[in-house]
Amino acid sequence: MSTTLTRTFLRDNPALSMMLGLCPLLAVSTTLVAGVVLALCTAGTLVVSGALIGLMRHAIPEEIRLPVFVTVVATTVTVADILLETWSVELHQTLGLFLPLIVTNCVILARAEAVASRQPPRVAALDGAYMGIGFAWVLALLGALRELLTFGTLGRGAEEAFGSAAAHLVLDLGTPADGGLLLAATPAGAFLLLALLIALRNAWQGRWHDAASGAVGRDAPPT
Amino acid sequence: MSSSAWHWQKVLFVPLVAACGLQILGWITANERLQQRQIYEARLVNGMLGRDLSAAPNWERLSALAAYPKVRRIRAAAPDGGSVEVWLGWRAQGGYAGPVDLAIAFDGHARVHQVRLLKHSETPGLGDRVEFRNSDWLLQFLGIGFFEDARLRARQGQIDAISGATITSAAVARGVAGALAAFVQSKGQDR
Repeated sequence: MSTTLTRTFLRDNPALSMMLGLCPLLAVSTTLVAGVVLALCTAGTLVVSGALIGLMRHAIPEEIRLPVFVTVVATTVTVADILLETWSVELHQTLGLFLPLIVTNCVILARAEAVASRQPPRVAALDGAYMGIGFAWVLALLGALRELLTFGTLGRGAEEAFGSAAAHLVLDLGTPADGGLLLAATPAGAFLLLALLIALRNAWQGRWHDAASGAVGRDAPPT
Repeated sequence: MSSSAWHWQKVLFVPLVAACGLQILGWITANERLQQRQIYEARLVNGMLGRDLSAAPNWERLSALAAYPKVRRIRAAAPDGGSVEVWLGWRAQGGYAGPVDLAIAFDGHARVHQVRLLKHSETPGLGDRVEFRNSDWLLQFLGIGFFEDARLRARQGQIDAISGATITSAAVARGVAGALAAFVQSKGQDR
């Protein structure tokens, strides 16, 4: 069980291992709340579009499968966009451009091509859920780290996202006088933080392989 | 051969069904989305007037000006007892990722009472730091009147730009200057 978990969420993580979907990962991970909400939308899109493509897999001609995939994904994302606007305009405003840009997230197209178009809807949806959660926790962690470095807070904007009851969940460690670390707010800073996370994951995987295969030192070749 | 042709045509139903479905979803949620936008604007105006954010909106809606049909005007009581006119949806061109829609409150002396961003598509973490919930930057505009608006016009004026958000800062400053001029002109027409 733990092997399945680590395999899904750490070893085969779309962001840390496959390096997919880095554009939204770097662009929207400015705060924890923005990251979590975008991750939820992405995960929902992965599940729904995976199931839909799984359902249609026998009807889609091989030659034009990509336009069909993109149409299905774009429709799902537009539905998510409309529903989020129904939920909270303030949140919709915060995510802005990046919600429609989920369409271009390569995790979704990659899973549609690799899994959803070859598997029954149930398997495709489950794969979407695994990938979505794997993507979500990296996005949330990166968002939390960047928010701490930029604003000195954790969970700002929670009130707009989850109602006024969430207002006291915001942790304020005191905003730095000069506006925090500008680098952490920029995509360049996000790249550096992500690189650190990937380095940590690689170090962990080196140990994991050593323990599993008994090999000493470097990464064992993938099997 | 003919069966393969039919195979292709079948796929045309995908965008057709998608378009119809989205249109229907748009109709179903139209009311709810309008309601959410009104709640959002009421909270914004309450914040500008220094009221409790979730207070019931008790203000007078004024008719739109002929010159600016898209700007919604509101007259409300100011915290100091006077009257404030709020312009919602003043469009400032030249933001980093498109126009920036402003909400500006003017006091009885045609000075800027408060400024907020109503709608924009600036980069999260960079351009959106001019927003009131992210910084005190918008407070620089408080109290500026028409005859001091040279402060807004000058490129290196007295409005400090936020580093990393200079284009957004300049667009907002230009937008406030334009709105101020239009407001003074509209008062002149009223008399």
